[in-house]
Amino acid sequence: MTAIIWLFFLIVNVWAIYWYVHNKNATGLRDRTTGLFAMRDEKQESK
Amino acid sequence: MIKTLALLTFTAAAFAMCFQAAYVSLLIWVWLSTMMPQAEAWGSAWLNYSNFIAGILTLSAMFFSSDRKLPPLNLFSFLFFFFIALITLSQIFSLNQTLSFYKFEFGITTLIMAFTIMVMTTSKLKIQALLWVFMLSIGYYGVTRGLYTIATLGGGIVTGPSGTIIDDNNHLAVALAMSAPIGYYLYRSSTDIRARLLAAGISTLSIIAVIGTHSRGGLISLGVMVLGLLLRSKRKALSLIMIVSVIGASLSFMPDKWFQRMGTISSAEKDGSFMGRVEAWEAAYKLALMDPILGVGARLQYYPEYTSLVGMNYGMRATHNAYLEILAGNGFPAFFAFIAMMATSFFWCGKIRKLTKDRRDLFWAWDLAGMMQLSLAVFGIGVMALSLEYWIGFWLLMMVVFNLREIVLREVKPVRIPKPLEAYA
Repeated sequence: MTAIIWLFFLIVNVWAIYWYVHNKNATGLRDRTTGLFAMRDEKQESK
Repeated sequence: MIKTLALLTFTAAAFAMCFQAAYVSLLIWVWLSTMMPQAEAWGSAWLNYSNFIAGILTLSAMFFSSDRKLPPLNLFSFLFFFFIALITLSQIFSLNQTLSFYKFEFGITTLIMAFTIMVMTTSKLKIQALLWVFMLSIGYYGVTRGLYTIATLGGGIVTGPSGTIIDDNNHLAVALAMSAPIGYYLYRSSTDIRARLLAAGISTLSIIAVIGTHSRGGLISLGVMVLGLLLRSKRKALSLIMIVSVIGASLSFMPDKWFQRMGTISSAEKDGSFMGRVEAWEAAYKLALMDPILGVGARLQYYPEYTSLVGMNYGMRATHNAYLEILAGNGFPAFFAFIAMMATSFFWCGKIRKLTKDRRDLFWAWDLAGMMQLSLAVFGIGVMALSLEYWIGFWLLMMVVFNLREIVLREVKPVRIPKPLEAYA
């Protein structure tokens, strides 16, 4: 069980790094990000 | 063997991405040094040095890549460099350089890596990626230890990864309690339901893991965290129901010995373990008075040959207080610089919230500053009984606040609108 969780966290960490590389051009505040860890688009949504 | 192969594959894939963006090396370093996946995979010397390689790559990226920005000189950066200078001088003038070197080496490495975070984390995207990698790394221990607590019905005491600064149950408890608000921020700032569930699941299991550590300091930190989350939450009733459900469900299966141990919080003066800490604190304070400018040298207050110099005669004993650890080891100026850095970060969070309160486009900064402030409060209270001052998670937090403030100040800078006649001129 621990091995499966370990592997899962290995994958999601590398996925998070890949997510950064995938969105690396969206460095500005108003650029939309895509993918698993995409950030909320604040122009569209209110508090 | 399978674990080693899996780790080799994923680490190699991650390192390959360094060619795409220099910041990746910092993310890899945070991942490998917080989650420590290499500690559970054997058979490859390369893997044992992988976080060292990531550290070297990060330093190279900091110096040679265009993907960086020199930090502005302000109160925090001044205090940070002043603190580094003081602990270095303290090592040079230590009463025993050999004994104090280990702690100095660990501390200075953490501070150098914190500096790379300060220099390289210059955008919203980088902050988000850094927080995700940090949360997914510390979250591994939150999830495994949380599930262990449930599986053993709280019978087994949860500890951190061996050989790291958070291997002690008390240290792990504060680290997890401090990380939970970051999970809450990531939950709120993400759109994908899987990412939101991941953040919420890690935070929930981390809270259960804190209870499973049987740490009294951890329970106090958890109390601060819960109180802060309720105060920060917009839907207070819903948050209260959710938090009470998680903690209530966890407490329902905890054994009697857990309640007996937590019950000693109110009668600490009768507790041998606590009174031992009070003695160690007294010794640390007296040793600091011996050399108030640079201290006696990092961690020397642990050794009987030095505590006996101030009339405290007992065996080897840890200080169990981050503030007094710095005070005795590095002197009063370093102690005040450390406290001032924490206080500056804390008040900057308040300032960021004030500046972004009515800015819909900066809601993420408003929300993040609130959670960072809460994490800082949890850590600040938690380390009153722990020597966790050089844990990278804490420095990462302060550097995120430093850069968040820079981003917000840039965004809220008043724009001069030309008068109608000027516009048509």
